[in-house]
Order: sequence, then structure tokens, then C-alpha cells
Amino acid sequence: MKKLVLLLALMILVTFILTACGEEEVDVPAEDTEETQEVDVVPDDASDNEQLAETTEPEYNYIDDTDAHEGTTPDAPDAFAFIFRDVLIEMNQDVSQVISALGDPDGEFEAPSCAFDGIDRIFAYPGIQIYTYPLDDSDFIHTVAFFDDSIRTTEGGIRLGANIQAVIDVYGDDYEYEVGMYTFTRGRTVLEFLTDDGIVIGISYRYLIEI
Amino acid sequence: MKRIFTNPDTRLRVIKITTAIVVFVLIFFSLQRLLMPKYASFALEGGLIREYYNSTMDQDLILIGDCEVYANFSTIALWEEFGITSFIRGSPQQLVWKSYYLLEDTLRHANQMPQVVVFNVMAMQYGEPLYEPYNRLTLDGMRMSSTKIRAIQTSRTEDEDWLSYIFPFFRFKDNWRYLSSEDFRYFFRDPQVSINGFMIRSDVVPVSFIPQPMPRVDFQFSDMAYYYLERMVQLTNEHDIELVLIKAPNLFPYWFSEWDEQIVAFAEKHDLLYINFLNYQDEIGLDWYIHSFNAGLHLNVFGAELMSRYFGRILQEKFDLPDRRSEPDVAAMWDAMAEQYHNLIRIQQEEIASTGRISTFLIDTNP
Repeated sequence: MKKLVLLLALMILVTFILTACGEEEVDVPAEDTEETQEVDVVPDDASDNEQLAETTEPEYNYIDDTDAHEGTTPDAPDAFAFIFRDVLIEMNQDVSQVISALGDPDGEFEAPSCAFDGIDRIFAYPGIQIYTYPLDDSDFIHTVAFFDDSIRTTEGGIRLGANIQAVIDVYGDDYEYEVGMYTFTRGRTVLEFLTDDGIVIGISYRYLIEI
Repeated sequence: MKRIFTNPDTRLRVIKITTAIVVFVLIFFSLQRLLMPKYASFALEGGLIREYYNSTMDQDLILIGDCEVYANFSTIALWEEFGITSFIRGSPQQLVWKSYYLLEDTLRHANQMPQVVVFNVMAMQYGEPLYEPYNRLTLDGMRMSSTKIRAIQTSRTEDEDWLSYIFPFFRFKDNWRYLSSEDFRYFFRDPQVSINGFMIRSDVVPVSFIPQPMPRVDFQFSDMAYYYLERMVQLTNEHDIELVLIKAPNLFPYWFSEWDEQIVAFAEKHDLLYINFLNYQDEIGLDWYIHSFNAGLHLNVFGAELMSRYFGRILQEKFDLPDRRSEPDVAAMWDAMAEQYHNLIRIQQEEIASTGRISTFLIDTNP
């Protein structure tokens, strides 16, 4: 009988040891508390990624965007950030700080989070939308997207309607290209320019979150 | 072989080993059951898929898709208004391949084939597996079969271990830290979260703001999405079932006209009925100030009833779905479910009147 008990205990122990060596701790979204606090992100060397080999960048006849100008670079050289109405908006920042500085948004939309426990929120200000994800009773910014040409990127003053060459002149040629999207990476943040026939039709700052 | 069982020592050893294995298996599956989420007080949608297997009735209508089906179509309204028997096999972010395998799974378990299968096309925009948590909400509820195994292989993301879908213990082993009374209360039986796949929400959160969609240049549905939609056509053809494509009338996420054109072309090519309900909101009678519980993402139960009455009429006229209300056995079961349905709506409305919010969502825990 002792042998039987020993054998059972051994089998259970082996199961736990084997599983403990397995995957990372992750839980179904709503139940997560401690685990989801560890918001993993891409490594800092993400900017070293080479351009996608399998995609081909189209060739365009570029015209200068005469409106492009040098802006102020926020004090975060390893990350993209955005200044809107003199308020610095950083990725993965608690949105309440931004809202208290900017004032109430024109509109707010809530949707169940795709990847986290809680609610994803979208805050609309003239020309931009700020997207957040929930964590620990707070909402953190993961994306800022431009929706009209009155808004310019903080660095270089690129706006919707600009020529992609103006973007490259400002941000350099260390980018990834895929289906019209030029992606520049700094640490855990990216600045994306969506183009159609060489013209920028979408601009967004994004924080890279690993789910 | 005979010598093993005639030798007392060997026989004892065999009995001991067999007993050890049986006890181990029992402990393993008991632990697995205990540690798996019960979806009784959070992410209730995780309980939707498994409920189909508890149903003893055959259905004439099956609706398949993501949240745009399980929140928008009232199976009871279809019954009460038209006598249509239906079940919704929907779960959050149910991508096209998951819907295909759930259709396969549904037909595998049906004694009588449904006459009509309805598929909501919103998920056609996705071309690859996305999030593990959503895979869990769908796949963990499926009963084990070769269909489930293929669904796992197709749906899992790169980082996911398929074995943890076969034995979810390996995924949820750390949940012992969060065990609650709920895990013991629902150890032997699952909480009922829907009426034949429809989740009831009586509260109202009006539409106040619809965000602009993110711009995009590529509107082409992926080969993978098309492949599984084609397989749905093939599977329904094989069983002589009518396949209907719909786009539910939800205001957000945005449904681009470029996507709609592709579905129209696909439906024409395969001679399918396709209805984009976004174009019929007035005829349906939808008022997004009173018919949504989350600001335009989904309909509440009152909007879902309107939607079902509008759609039920089309289905009955086009496909001659039978009115089963005159069949005593069927009517008895459906009337019992209708009673649960109206009871929960009443409770939720009382809660809204007294506290401004609802806290009761489960069907079978109501007084």
C-alpha cells in the first residue's frame, strides 16, 4: 500500500514539475490580475529588424512636402512620443494624465478588450483618436492615430497628405515596409505611415504590446 | 499471458499498477475540472460553446459567428414569433475557421440536419489566428473529437501548445491560487449562460459617439478566410442545407463597403442569400439610443427581438422553415426555455430599476 501511495505521489509530483517547466503563466483575460501586469514588449533591439525581405517597396515620383518642418523631439530618444496642444503624449502612459491636461475629449467609446480584462477605450480630440488598454483599474495609451491634416507628427511635422519621401527625409530609411505601411521603430514604440500611391493616408503612434 | 494472471504476485502487481493509473487519471481530470475557468461570474461568453451539447433538441436553424450573432439574435423571439427552432453557435472573436469547425461539430452532433445555417461575415476581415484568450473561449468549450483537434491546429497562434487544448490542466494549472467557491459550486455542472446560444442583456447604453475607422489600403479578404468560407459552402451543400450570409447591423467595428462588395460577389458566385442588415436598420426598427447595451457594439435583448422578428420572417418566407409550435413535445421544451428567458429579463429590469445596473446574467440561478 505504501508503494502505491508513493507511486501516486510521484506521478502527481512529476506532472507538476513537468508543467511548471512549461509555458509562461497566463490566464484567461478576466481572471488575470498579477500576470497581466507584466506587459511584455518587444525587445529593445526591435529597431534593428531588417526590412521585410519578401515585400517589395513600390517606386514613386516624389514631390517635396513643403509644409514639413523640424519639430521638437521629446526627451525620450528611445521612444516615439507626440506633442498635441502642448501636451506630451507618450505611449503606454496613463491616459488620465493626458486627459486632465487636454480637457474632456469630444467623444469617448468603450469596447470589451480584445486581449485584456476590462474595456478598451477610444478618446477623440479634434484630428486625433487616442486608444487605450486597461490594466489595474487604469487605462494606458497604446495608439494615437491622426484623422485630419491639421495634425502633424512632432518630429518633422509630417501630416496626412504628405509625400512618403518627406517621411523618409525626416525619419530615415531604417523602416519596415508592408502593403503600403512604413513602420519606424524606436524601442517599444513605432510610428506608422500608411500610404496609398506614395501619399500618406494614415499616421499612428503605437506602443508594442505582447499579449 | 495466462501465467501473469495465475501467478499471485504478478496478479497483485498488475492490480496495483492498474489501480494507480486509474487513481492518477481520476485525480488528474478532477484537478483539471477544478482549475478550469467556470465562466460563471466573468467572461460568461466562455460558456457558450459547451451549451450546445446539453441541448436534446434538433434545430431547424443554426446561426454561426462571433458576438454579432450571440448578442443580436433572440432564439426565443424566433420561437415565439414563428415557431422556428434555432441554436446559436457563437463565441467572441470567432474567426472563420473556428466557425467552420463549429459547423462541422454541430452537424456531427445533430440527429436531424438543420434546414438553414446562417453565417455572420464580420470575421472575414481576419486572415490569421489572433489571440489565445479568444481561442480558449471557443475551443475549450468544444467536445473532444477529430473536428476539435483540427480546429485547434488551425486556430492556435505560434506560441500556443496544442497539447494544452487537449489537456487544459496544463494551461490552467496556476489557477489554484485563484480558486473560489464558484469553482466548487460548478464542479459537477456548468452554469447556464444562454438560451440556446443567445446571451440576454436588458440594459441600455446608448450610442453617443462612433469612432472613425483606422484608414487602410488593403481590403482584400485573406485566402485563409475565403478557404474556410468555401468549405462552409461545400459542407452545407453536402448535407443539402441552405447557407445564408449576413452582416449584423452593428455600428462598430466598422464594416467597409469594399468588404461588402466581396461578400456580395461571393454570394452571387455561390448562389447564396446575403443580407447586410446595416442597410435595413429603419425597417427593422432599430433605435441605437435604446437598443444597445454597449453603445452600438451589440444589441440588447429588445433590439435582438426586433432583429429576430425581421430576419425570422425572411427565413420563413424564403426557406419555408416549419412552425413547430403545434408539436407538443417541442413546444413544451421551448415554452419552458421561454419562461426562463422572460424571467431573466424581468429580474434584470428590476435590478436596473433599483440599482441602475444588472448583476444577474446566469439563466439557471434565478429565483
